[in-house]
Amino acid sequence: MKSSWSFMEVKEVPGADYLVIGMPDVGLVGLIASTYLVKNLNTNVVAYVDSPYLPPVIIYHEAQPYPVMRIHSYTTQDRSFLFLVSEVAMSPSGVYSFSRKLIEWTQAKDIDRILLIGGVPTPQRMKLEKPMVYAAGVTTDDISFLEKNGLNLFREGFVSGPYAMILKECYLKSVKGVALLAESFLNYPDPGAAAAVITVLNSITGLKVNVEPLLEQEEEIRARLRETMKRTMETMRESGKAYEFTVPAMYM
Amino acid sequence: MEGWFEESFRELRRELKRLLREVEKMVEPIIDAETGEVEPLYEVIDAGDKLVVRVDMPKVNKNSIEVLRAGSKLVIKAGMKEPVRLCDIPFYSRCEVTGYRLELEIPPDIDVERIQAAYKSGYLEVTLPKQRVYRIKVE
Repeated sequence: MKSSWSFMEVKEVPGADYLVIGMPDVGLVGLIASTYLVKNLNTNVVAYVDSPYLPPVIIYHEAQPYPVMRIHSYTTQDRSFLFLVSEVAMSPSGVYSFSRKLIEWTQAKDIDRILLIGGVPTPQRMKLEKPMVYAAGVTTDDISFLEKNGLNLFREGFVSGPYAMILKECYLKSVKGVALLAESFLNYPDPGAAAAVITVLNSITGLKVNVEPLLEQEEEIRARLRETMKRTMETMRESGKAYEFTVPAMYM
Repeated sequence: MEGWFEESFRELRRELKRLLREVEKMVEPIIDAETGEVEPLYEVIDAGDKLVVRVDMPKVNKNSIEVLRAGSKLVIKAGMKEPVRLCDIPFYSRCEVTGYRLELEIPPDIDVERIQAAYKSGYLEVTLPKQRVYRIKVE
């Protein structure tokens, strides 16, 4: 059956060690972090993702058009990265087919590991100077990779929304996948949590992205992303986000 | 066949709800073009004996924050240290965001004399204690 999602490559997309995915969700952590990464690393856009499930919009930046879901490429001396950045929250009805198509594409491109970057809401966020980052792995290889890097494993609880479906698809297809989730505000843009995620990403992938400017611009970013947060909250309400505050029966 | 029909019907209902919300949003002003004020992001937490209104107000000059009780309304106003300019975006090109304004209805069980507010790191927290419960002796 033909997928309702298309990955359109505008340049040759090489295989990669990591596919880093950042989408608008809790505290806009994934969006803020991934946008900051692609800007600071001077990445190249190599592909677009399109679907009738995405809103009928196109972005203009510095007089250039950009589709809302893009794949950027970046290579260091010893590692290769792809970054999938989505400017819009995905409607729950499109998440299932997107996850399937994404994993198919990942396998075809011989990508070694998917890294999902985002937030996990905590009511205590206001009191936290440095948010903790939890790491949810899929395969046994992922778990030993995370333990070797000394990360805090996400041991109990629900993950919901697009990242949950991507992790599920990774699990079903035995694809290596990890979600890095920083403690964050649920409904306020959280650049501090985004900086925490980037710091962990640096430590496990060898990237060297300085997060100081991100922290310095924190209040400006929060003021500018107010409307994006509102739109994202509307989508989050439909995507089972409330499950993340729920204790699973398995935890009894 | 029936399953397919029910799923299509559910999908149609979801889409109609989404469109309705879109229309509602379109009539909601995003920015007051006269004053440059926007409604901040906020949440109301019921903490048992009190309500806590937490408001995200980055870039605010602390001295400009006003928390007012106007009749049955709680009014929060604040000016920014410097305006947020989004001049390259046509929607905002002829105005700048200069401050915040939020109006909320105060529930009748709030002890309005004991309302408190504190501002830290760009977040305003207004605490609205609920009226004390008095036990009435049953004779």
